[in-house]
Amino acid sequence: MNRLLAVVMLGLVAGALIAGFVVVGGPGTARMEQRDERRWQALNDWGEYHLCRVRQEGDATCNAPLPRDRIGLSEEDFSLTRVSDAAFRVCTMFETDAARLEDHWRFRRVSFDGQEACMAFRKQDGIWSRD
Amino acid sequence: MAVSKELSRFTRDALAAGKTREEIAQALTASGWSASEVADALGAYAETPFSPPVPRPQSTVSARDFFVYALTFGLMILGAIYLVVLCHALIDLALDTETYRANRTIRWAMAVLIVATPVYLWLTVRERAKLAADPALYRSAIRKWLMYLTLLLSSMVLLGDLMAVIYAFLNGDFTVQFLAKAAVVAVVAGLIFMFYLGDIRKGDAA
Repeated sequence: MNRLLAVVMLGLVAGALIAGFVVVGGPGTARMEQRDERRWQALNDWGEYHLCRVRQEGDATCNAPLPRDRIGLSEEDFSLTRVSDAAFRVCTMFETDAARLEDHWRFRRVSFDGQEACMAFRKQDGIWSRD
Repeated sequence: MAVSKELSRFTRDALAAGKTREEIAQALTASGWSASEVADALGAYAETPFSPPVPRPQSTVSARDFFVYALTFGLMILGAIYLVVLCHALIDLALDTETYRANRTIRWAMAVLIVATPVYLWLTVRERAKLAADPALYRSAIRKWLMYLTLLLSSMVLLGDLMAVIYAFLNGDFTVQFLAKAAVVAVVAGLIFMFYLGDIRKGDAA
């Protein structure tokens, strides 16, 4: 009887561990998530930088400093797209599988197209802000 | 029940002096000792005509027992807590699409289980082998105390779980997600309770 109970408990532990690995992935996935976390911060910095620039339209420079490098990415890694006069997007490529991205970043203000992560900004009532 | 030193010494001296168990029981009862105290005092000596009286085996306490059993039971409780944490996080992910993906919580719970489970298993299997070889080890007081403490904790968890289920039902929060989480708690606590209850019964029979 006790052996059966121990086997059931072990089965429960093994099942939970396997399910855990399936859901969160292994150490490789964790490292990708950590690098994507730094990419997200960098995307945030570049978004704020471009926001500063569009707020000073007509002025060639922005007082905001260039974002500091967080993960070996340069300005070329962040694409700036003017959607209209009142909207623009800053995007960069993330590393985590596209299937996991939506779930992991659900509560951040970022949208995904495959592995490309984008932050959108728009002008509303004359004020620029993040979408 | 523990027998006081004076009572034990008196019982031993009386048996050694050739008094019958009935005479000793009468004398003790007349002096105010309760029936259970008298039974425990007399039960501490074997019913044999051999003199001096032969003591029955008593519970033992050793530092080694404390180390082994405290470690075993500590790992078991830690493992049980994080098994529940892991299962709850997985249930949230499966049933609540609006929840935050708690990857770090899941990874920490997995790390605890990956370490605690094999060490607990190794300690338990090793102890079982020792108990099989020497049933006198069943008399370890620390082992008994920790097993009863485990029974107490698991039964309190089971009762608390039942109260939470009834409260959720009455409060209108009786969702599949809640029910699944409560079931995990009940299964884990129930398995631990039954496992150690079986152990205690086995020890009593040994």
